[in-house]
Amino acid sequence: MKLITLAIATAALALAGCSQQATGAKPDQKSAETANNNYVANGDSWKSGDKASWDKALKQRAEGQNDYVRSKSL
Amino acid sequence: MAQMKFICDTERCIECNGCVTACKAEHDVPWGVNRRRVVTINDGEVGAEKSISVACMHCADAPCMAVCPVQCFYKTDEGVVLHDKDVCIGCGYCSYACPFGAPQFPQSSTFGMRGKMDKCTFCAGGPEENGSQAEYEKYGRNRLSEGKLPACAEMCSTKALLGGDGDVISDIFRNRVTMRQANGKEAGANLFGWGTAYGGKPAA
Repeated sequence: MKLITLAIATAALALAGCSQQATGAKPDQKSAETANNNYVANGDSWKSGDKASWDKALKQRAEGQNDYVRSKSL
Repeated sequence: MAQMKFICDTERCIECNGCVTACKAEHDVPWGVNRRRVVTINDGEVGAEKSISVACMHCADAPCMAVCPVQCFYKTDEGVVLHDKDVCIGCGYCSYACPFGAPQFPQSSTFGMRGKMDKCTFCAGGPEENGSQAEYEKYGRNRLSEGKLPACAEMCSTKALLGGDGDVISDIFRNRVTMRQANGKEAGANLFGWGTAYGGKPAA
């Protein structure tokens, strides 16, 4: 009897392992949520969690890669 | 909504490898792993030698995401393709699927296993608290949540490598191409883009 119970329990465990689904990646924080460190740039121009102000700050920073705009401001 | 992209201007890239170095230093990338690298073709042919900086292109329909058997990949609202190293099993399917050779493996695990996959994160870290030590150790710095753009693009001395919102950087690139054409140099379609992909000019 004990042997049968043990066999059923082992089989149940094995089947549970086989039916395990891929859970995928953990949920991530939004990029607009400020990093928990001392390296945040232009912290006054955007608020943590405010996607619109973060987007704007990053767009402005991306514009800094435009030499033609930068040379005009010199 | 911003969709993050990289563009590399082959007319400006001078193969200095500044982007590679910036990436390695910023994220403390282990020995043997290069999230970004510079590829050069037609070496030594005057006028024909071209270099391009390549990393994960954060594809809109990413093949690595499609083939991953444990679904460790996810895409942020900004279109950045990231992965969870706690879920990755190091099978290497993503590296076979990726046309850019972006997924890298540290090859330092026991029994010659590949280890967890590592790739460019567009400096957006991974699924840990933004800017935390745990995130830094697994994925490197999360510059996006610090209000910055990828280190490789921001460090590029000739601004060959542009990174950021696709609309903004394509405007910058378009402006350059227009200037080149205005200055008598045939450009545009023959640069990285249509001409490179399809071998001709786009229909007018």
